[in-house]
Amino acid sequence: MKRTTPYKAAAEFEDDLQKFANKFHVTLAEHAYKTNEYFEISCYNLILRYYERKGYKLEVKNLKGSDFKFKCNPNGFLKNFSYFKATKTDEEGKVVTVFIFHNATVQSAFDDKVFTTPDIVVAKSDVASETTDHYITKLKLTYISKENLVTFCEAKHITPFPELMINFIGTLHELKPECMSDEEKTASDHLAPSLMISGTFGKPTKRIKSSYESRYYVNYLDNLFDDASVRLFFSKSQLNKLATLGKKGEPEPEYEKTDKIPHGLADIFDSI
Amino acid sequence: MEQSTSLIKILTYKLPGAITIPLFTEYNNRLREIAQIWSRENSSYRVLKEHEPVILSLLAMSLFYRHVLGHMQGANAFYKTLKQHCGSQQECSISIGRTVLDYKQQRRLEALMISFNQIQDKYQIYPAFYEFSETAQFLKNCKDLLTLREYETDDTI
Repeated sequence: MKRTTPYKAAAEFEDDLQKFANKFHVTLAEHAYKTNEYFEISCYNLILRYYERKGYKLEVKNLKGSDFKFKCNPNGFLKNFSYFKATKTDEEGKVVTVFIFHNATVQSAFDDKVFTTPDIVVAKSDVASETTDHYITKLKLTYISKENLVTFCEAKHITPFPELMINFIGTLHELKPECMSDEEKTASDHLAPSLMISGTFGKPTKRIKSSYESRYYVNYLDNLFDDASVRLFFSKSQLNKLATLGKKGEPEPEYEKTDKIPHGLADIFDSI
Repeated sequence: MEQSTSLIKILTYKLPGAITIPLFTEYNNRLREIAQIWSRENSSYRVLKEHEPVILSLLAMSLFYRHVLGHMQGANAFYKTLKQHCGSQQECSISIGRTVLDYKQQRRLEALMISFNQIQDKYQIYPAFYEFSETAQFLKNCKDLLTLREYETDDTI
């Protein structure tokens, strides 16, 4: 196969893209309606693969026949949906097991009657607690109790903006306040609470990310479309840079006018 | 410029407004920024100006990937993870609300991704190309691509 570049075969490049669009426009239109859900599925998959990279063995739980029932909103009982179990034997021979849920409701660390539903929840147990005191009717709410919560992630299919990033700290404070304290932590494989965003950080949001990642046990991950995120998650060096419940992340050096921008283009950035 | 505007329209033909509106907004904003960068006399990216139609095609392709295809690829990757862990059950499916991503649908997504990957491979466009936040970063990726050479590989089995 001849490898060329779009510059050397410009007309052919555009023609190939047009042919691709014409050939697959039905499939594209059909699946494009589910892009938001696909993004959340993609993030869920990244967390599963993160645990795999950390040596955990994955097992699907609660399949309905051969159907993985994905919980795509906060409603519904946990027992009606599928999830993954991750198991690992640690260096001391102790078996560590966690359960990875999607859209599972979690109890606040401060108030037993306050709940919120992060997109991805890692819990110590798959036995959900129940209450009939949550809704105005006697409808039951199933949730992960605060004692069973290991970590959580929020997936946002959006371009990051400051309010979104700062709001995440509110969820962090409510669910995992220990991730905001400077007390010494024990080493842990578990990913620190993370905000996973499909868009890309700009300069102001990068600053917020750096600031929070240096202060708290938290990850802000951007550019999460599949190929790039795979590079991020699964290269050894990147994996080690992520914050876990036992250590803070290694923030990327903040953009400086003099170092990262080639050929004196720093002023262009300021003018945009 | 008109030709490449039509390319983004072709790529997003019949896609829902929830996707096309932000995609077109970003496309138009980035076009303005590219024009602004090129208008600077000391800009090292002016070398790309003579390849304007290509730059606009690359921009259309990048945004199409970031807004549409990347997430489909993510869902497809989850399907593969699921299949790997389903044990003896060869054919599994994913229910997302009322919609079901089954083996047949997954094969269609897979075909779409293979076809797109072939285009990427042919033109030496790698996933890192889509990683940019500032438009200048996108132009830097385009400039890196400009320096690549053509070569032929023997793909016969």
